[in-house]
Amino acid sequence: MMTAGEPLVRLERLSKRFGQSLANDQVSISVPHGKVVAVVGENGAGKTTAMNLLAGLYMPDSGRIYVRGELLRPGSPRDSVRAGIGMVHQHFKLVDTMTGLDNISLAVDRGQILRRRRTSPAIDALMREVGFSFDLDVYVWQMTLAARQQLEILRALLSAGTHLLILDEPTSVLSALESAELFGRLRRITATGRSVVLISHKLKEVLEIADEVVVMRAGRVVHAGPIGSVTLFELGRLIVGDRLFGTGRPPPQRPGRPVLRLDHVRVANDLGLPAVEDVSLEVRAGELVAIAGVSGNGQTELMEAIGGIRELRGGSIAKPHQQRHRGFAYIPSQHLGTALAPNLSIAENAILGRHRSNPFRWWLRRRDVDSFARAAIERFDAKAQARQPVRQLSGGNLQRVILGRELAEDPELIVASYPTRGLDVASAAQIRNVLVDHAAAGAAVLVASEELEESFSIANRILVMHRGRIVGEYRSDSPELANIGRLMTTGVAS
Amino acid sequence: MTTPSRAESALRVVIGTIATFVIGALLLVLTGHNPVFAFAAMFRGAFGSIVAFASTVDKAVPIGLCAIGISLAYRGGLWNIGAEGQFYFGAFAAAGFGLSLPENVPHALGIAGVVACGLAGGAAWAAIAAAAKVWLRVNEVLSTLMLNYVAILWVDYLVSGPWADPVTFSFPYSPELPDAARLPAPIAGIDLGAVITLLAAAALYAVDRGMRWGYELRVAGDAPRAAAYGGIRASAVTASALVAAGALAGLAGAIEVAGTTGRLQSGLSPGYGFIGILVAWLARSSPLGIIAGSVVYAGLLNGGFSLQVSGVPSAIGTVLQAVLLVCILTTFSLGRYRLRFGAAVGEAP
Repeated sequence: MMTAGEPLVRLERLSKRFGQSLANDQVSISVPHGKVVAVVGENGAGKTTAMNLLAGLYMPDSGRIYVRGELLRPGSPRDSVRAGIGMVHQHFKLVDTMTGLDNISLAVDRGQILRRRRTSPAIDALMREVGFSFDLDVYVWQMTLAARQQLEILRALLSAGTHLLILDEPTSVLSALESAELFGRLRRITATGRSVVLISHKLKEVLEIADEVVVMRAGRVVHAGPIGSVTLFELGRLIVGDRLFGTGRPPPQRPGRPVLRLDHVRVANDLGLPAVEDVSLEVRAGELVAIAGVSGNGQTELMEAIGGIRELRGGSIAKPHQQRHRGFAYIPSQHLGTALAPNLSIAENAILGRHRSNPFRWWLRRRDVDSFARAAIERFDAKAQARQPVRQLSGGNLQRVILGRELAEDPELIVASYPTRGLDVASAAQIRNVLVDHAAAGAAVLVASEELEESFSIANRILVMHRGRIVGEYRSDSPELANIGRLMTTGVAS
Repeated sequence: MTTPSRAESALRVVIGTIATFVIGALLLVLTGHNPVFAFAAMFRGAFGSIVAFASTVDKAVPIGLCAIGISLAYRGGLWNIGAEGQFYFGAFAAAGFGLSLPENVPHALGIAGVVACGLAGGAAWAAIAAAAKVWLRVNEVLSTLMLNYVAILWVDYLVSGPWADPVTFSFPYSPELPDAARLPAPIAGIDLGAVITLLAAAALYAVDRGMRWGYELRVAGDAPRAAAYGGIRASAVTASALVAAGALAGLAGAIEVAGTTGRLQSGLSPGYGFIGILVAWLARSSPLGIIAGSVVYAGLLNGGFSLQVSGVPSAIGTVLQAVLLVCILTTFSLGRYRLRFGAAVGEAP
């Protein structure tokens, strides 16, 4: 049925153009049987486009796709699924108001399972085999992101007996522990002879899990080979090309007056359960404070409470005000829908939160709106047009527009929730540098981060959060990494 | 997804209209009527004479005002299905004011009062749904829809009971409004209702073009969390839009009693508030599109009446209203796709 050495999937000189930009330029990728292939590259390098071509979601302009040596009909999601290709997208494609089992049923047999109202032996066996640990009878909207991802993977494996599983940025929503669990499952999946394509920014985890690595830059494949053939440093170089970027350094240590002060703050999560319990902290002018912790320990809720979009259950927050409104920069962890209204233009989003202060009155003059838009776009070189709906932007450009807007008036306080999450190496470095520069210039900066190295590279002080409480405080010039790691996961220092 | 250009949109409307005529002609042939004859009769009834055209404009006014209100609420993410009820409640308030006017009231004062009562009546009726939405989280689709029936039955009760005209005997009519509460006849061919409708469309344009309230409304409608983030009180802003939508529908009701019928009566509206929903959809939020759509749908209403005179069931007019909506919406959805001709790339040789 197949010739020896014929890979499971072979992309051959695929090209795809979107308007002016060539998203994929003669892309050729081979996926061998039973291996994990990592596709790495910056945002907009064409990784996701290539995989969407393979999944039949896009029609290639030219090039061919072979599955087990047979030509795949392009642009047909149904044919791709039949050929055994399953994709888990970065933004999950699940029906929130259905249970996990309903979602699987929808994909696998269009609702046949529903009549039985319970899992089939095939699902149970697969769940045991791969080591899934979540409840299929829970509604998707009640599931954690990690559980939703497991559900997506399970669904992909079940529908038409997937032989190739494509994961787009799977760890961007996972904690370190959850990522490790995911990698364990991927190992078990490849042990069954299936292959995995992993799209990722995080080079360390790529080195850890992948057998082969494909590096993409500006729509082209610039490197492909076994993982042992490159070092972390070389990989970084391949990804960004010849550009240079700093790794960040904390601002000089001379804190001024306190700008933000939290006293015994308590906050509830969306389900009404306590998420933040009795947090008191202070951020002074000129210092950068990072909140470290495994995600889901109350950081997001805490930042939202500071940002004013989540009610306090107790305690108080003293923060800069401007005419009863937020008088500081706030960069929430969710861009679309919170920091930006997705269907409004970039120009309209550029004045969100500023539209009630000068120069705006009851009538928003085009000229004023446009000058705000230009400032927000140009400040951090976002690739965007003022009249474009904001939902069309990529993650990095969304973040640049938000930063451009929020930092426009050199605020005295910057509160940023996971500002580099999901961004490529160069964009993340740019944003870290911006935060450090503002702190050095006298702003008080509070950042929530899930990458300990990031926290150490930019913060003066690191607060460790565990189960809604601050359980430790460290200065970044006295690194006790092992201790902090234990504190983050157990809440107890040795 | 790219937004279609004006030319593309116009082309889609033309194609949808042609499709409507083709389907309508098929229906007529199948029911044993001559389509050319029927369409000609419809056109004559709608636009064929000055009298016909004036009557079409009279119907386009309430449709347009309701549609403008519905579009406004939709900018805030709210579905106002209750324009019909708000229309009736505005008509009730205006008629109540007119009927209770003492003699010798200046005409200007009478008209101002009628208009103000229409606005207030419609606004109050919509405010019930808006308040339920804000404080009790009641879905506005259900509340506005059900309030329609309450308002319609309330008017039915009044005109067949307490407000019944003793002169018209069994007809469910109120007495005629005094002259002071009547809108003036068209001056130099310009109808006051039409002027008010054009002003409302212009206001909708201003809401989109730069009013801060309109901006806050769009943000609140698109992403309530983003509104909270930007310091916008989303529920207050969207509730005010629903109330404004009600005021416009109520104004339409006031214009109907004070300008067209001259009295409150059962069956005052042949469904203006519901046709307004169709027009708002078809116009895809554009004020100009709403004006054009209102005239077309008013023409279909009037043309339907004159069909009956020609021996063709007037229901054909109603059928065409629906077919037009389906055809134009279909051309807009299909317009998002591109056909690719020739062999697909990578096809086996």
